[in-house]
Amino acid sequence: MLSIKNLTKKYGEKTAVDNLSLEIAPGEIYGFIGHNGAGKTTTIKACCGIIGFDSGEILIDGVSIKDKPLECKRKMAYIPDNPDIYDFLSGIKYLNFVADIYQIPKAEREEKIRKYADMFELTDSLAETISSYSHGMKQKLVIISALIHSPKLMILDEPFVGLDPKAAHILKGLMAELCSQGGAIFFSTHVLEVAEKLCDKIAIIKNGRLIISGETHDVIGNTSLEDVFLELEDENV
Amino acid sequence: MFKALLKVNLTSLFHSIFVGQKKNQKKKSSAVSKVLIAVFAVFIVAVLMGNVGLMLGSLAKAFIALDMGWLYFSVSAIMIFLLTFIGSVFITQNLIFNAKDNELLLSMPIPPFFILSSRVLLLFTLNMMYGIIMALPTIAVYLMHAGFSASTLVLFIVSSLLLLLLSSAVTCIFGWLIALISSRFKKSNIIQTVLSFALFGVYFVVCMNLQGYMEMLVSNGEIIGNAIKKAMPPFYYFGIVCSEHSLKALIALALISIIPFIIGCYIISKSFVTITAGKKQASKTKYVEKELKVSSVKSALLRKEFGKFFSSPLFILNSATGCLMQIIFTVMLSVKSNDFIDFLSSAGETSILGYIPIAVCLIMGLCASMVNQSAASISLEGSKINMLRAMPVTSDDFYYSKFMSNYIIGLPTLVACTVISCVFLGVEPLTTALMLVTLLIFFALTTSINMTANICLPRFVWNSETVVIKQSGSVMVSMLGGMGASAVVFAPFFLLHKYVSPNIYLLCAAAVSAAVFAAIMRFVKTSGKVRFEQMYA
Repeated sequence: MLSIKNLTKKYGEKTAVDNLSLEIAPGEIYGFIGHNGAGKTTTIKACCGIIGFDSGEILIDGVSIKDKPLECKRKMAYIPDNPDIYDFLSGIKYLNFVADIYQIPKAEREEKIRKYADMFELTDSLAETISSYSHGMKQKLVIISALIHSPKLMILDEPFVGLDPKAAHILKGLMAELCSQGGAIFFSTHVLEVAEKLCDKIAIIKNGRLIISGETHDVIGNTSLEDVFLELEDENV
Repeated sequence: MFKALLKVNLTSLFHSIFVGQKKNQKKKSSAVSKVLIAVFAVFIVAVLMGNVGLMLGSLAKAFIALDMGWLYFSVSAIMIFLLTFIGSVFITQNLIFNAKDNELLLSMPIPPFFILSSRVLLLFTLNMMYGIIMALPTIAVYLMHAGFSASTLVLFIVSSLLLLLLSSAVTCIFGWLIALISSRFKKSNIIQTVLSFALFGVYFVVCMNLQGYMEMLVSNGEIIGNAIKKAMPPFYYFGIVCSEHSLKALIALALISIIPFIIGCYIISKSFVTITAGKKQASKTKYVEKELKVSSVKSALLRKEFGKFFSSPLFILNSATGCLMQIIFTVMLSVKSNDFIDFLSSAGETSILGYIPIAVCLIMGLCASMVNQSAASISLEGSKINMLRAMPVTSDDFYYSKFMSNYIIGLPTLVACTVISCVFLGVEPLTTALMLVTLLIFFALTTSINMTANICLPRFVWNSETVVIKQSGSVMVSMLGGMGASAVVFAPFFLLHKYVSPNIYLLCAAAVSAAVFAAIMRFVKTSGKVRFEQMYA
């Protein structure tokens, strides 16, 4: 579903991502872990077509993000770490705006907005302007906007930040549901316990380079993900 | 702590004006382009100061001769005060109460009074930049007529700084009142926009009649002087300090300026927290499920543009100034159409009927070029550009919404005011139609200039929208580009009027505008597409 091949991205002299290769198959939840400034967000933005890259290839469902960005973007949804969205719109207007961008038919958008807004208990706030929302409410709204067009691939950058426990639980359920329907999830997180429980596969990145990747139980072994992560960090120091 | 706050604010201001904010770019703007921009900015400021100096010359001569030099300084002080007040009252709310880092700073062990004071001093710095346009010519003209005096110069500088402190305090109080109202009412944007337009309208009318007011001042100096003495002590003391070097007046001016400033900051700081959190305290709107309207991608983006525009009084006032000026011009023309015709008659032997269409086009075109919403709208996406870039939105869709929003905003007043002006001036229907077509094409040209300026000079990282809307490079370039375009397209007629009729000239102007517009849109389609792919925050 998502294929990252020898991805390299430089900012001036600094190499943010160095020859990174990852494969995320349909049905997989893939966790992406690394220290601050490791290159996670750069990788994610490159996969979403927000930034270009210097070399390598990124394929979404077999289609190159460089050659056919629109086709790729129609199949995926991006949830940023900071839900900075149009605060002058009301919640419902924002969702309708996103639905228009993805050209979701009327009946489908109404049904999905109703379903996910009820699920995340945001229905009562949909008429309010986003400027009055808390961080968590904005995060929920962004998640809803990502789900309404039924993406095949969801790319999330630290999605659990600011979510209350119930909303986090709902999101985990929806991620599993999407994967069971043939979709895939690629997400970065600092919450290692969540990654350990949720992810089928994990990749750990440090200073732009892939340190380890594979099935979660293979990566973790008999210890915890936290121990593995800290050990790898120390090794590379 | 206070020094650290002030340093951060001033650094932010400096960066917003002089330093590019694009991170991780391989290219940096060349030294040549920086020098060109600096030279150009100096040129504009010099022209403005020159005009002010010319206006003040007659005042200085008259009042110095009457041994009322203090009145010259008092009147100048009033103008400096009004200029800085009107220049900054519209940005105070955004600069002080809506700054992005307010909540972060309030969460730190910093007294709200310090946060507010640092922002007010930032406002003071901005006021200094506006005030110097008036203040420098004031003292220069006086010294030219009265002879150089170092003590006059020094006292003028000190008094001006005190006056700016007073102006900042008054501006803050107005900004505070507006912010207080905004935090209580949901639709306060409408009130703010109406107030802002009303204030701007008054300012514009005063500017238009400035010459008359100057003449009235000169002929009624003593009466006006007595009125200022009684009713406006700060300006009276300002005059006395500068002309008579009175220490008592200086102390009085200092007290009048500093005490209200400190008291004002203290009072406002008490409600600072309430106001910054105020938008969350307004009553909830109950959601009622309704049928959703389905639109195309282009329409959705366009609707989003209008939502942004109408949600921000600052954006409306700065970007739609041209609409207001068209209305004012048309209203004045309806009252003084004969004076306008007489003025054109004095311009040359060509029949006034020849000048009228192009003169109206020049004025309407100039005003239309000041409708520059698209010069800031790309930058105003801010960090939301990332989300938009991750969606299936093409550069064509994106630029369509930016272009059309600007065009639709300016269209109604352009058409209505042109038609009404033509009716009052007795322009023939065919010429009126040609004027409309030419102006519609010309407005498309200036809109494309505005948008292209923002494509080439986007700014996605900012603390306050004020920086983007008022001080960004794209807005300045678009203003100058629009003025230049008006001059280049319409002014040549006044040299060529003997060789070409107005109708033929209008056709040529339309053709030239259309050709340049097509070239710019070609650039947008090609280079603009590449630049869109590189836009991120």
